[in-house]
Amino acid sequence: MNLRSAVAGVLLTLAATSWNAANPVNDERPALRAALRTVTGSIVAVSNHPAEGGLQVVTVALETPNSDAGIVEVLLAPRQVLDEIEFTVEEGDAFRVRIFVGDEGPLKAHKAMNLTRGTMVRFRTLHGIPLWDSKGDWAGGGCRHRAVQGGGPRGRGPGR
Amino acid sequence: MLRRVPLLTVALALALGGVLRAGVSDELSFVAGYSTADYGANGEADTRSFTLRYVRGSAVRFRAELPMLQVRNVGAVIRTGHGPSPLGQQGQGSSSEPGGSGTDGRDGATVGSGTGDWETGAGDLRLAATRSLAGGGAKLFRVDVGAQVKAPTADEEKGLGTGEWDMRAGVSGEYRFWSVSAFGGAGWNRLGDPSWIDLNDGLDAYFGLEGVVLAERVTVAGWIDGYEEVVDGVGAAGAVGLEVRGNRRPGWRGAVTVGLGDAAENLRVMFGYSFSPGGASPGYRGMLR
Repeated sequence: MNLRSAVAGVLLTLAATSWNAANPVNDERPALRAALRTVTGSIVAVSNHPAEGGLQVVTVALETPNSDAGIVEVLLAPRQVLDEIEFTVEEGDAFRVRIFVGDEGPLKAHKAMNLTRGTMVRFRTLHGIPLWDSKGDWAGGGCRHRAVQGGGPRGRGPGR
Repeated sequence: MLRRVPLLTVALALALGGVLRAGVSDELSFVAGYSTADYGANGEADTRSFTLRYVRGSAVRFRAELPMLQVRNVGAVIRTGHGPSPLGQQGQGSSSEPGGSGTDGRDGATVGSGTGDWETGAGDLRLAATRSLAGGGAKLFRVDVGAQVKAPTADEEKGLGTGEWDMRAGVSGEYRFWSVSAFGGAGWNRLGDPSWIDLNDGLDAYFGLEGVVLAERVTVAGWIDGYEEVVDGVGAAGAVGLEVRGNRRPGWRGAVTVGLGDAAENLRVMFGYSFSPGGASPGYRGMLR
């Protein structure tokens, strides 16, 4: 392998990835982007609701002073998921959430940041698929991995 | 140096023990790489590598990697834990000079003076352990501490390594913003000295940003890193890098770095493929982003 072939390999991979993402057959990105909206506000209520499988799911009512929406209610995740990943929400917390709009039923959270407590979690994929299993156990893992690995080709930075 | 081996063994066993207690995911990677350097026309070093890497753990993390190398050194070059480095004026010595830099005192073989022939063999085994110190999980920040050793499994006569142990202790961290994450780290490197040259211990550091693009399919990261002068007179070195990696498993990643300074490699490219032997799926789905 010489330099040119190595660079060509990397570029081909990037091109293939880009093509795949741009392929109309596979690309839901424009539609997904349109279906997402980010709102920021203050939590005025936290509620538990019964859901499938005997789970309790948590919703927050978010007052959004800078939005026409007023108070929006957002479904976050099962209570046991929030407890497992230590993502706490309480009344009065400053909160930012990216929600799926246009879906039937309650607004679902794609990603949420609790500005008061300094926590952030992605709850669902862009396709709206929850990152927990049918038993209500968190299936999204526990941490980020790349920064832990550190590295770089010589042992630092990304690449490990 | 041999006196350090038991201590290192105990340290690594303790680290591994912590990982096994943690009982979390593992990951196996194959990484192909190529790099080239001309050190401002003061030598050349080309490297082709194929590295097997195993990573296990989360809050406590253990990493082992062993590269197979094909290297070509022209002029005075030494390959430390930082990678290949020019020897500068210290590479101009001869066997008749006390403390001369170009000759191994044990058998008189010239070390560090590459002939331009390709040499092949196993590289240095690297073992590392990191532990989460603060943050992590859903928190916006994370701080880890870690240690790494480079065991001298590479053949120094072929110019594949120094034949000495290297060690690194460091701290790394990250802070997640809404759409991007900042990451960085710093470490202290203890480089083992071959009999024919004194290598400088020193600091390294890196800092970068990363973000998720293409409908969460791909993560792009850019960074800058640097480390202090390894050999007197050759200067500090560093690099800027760009990495692109897929967020699904099995995963892939590609990276390109461009060197900063005459002591750095001009260019390095790598491509890696990783999967989880145990079926666990660390990666983007494992990120509390």
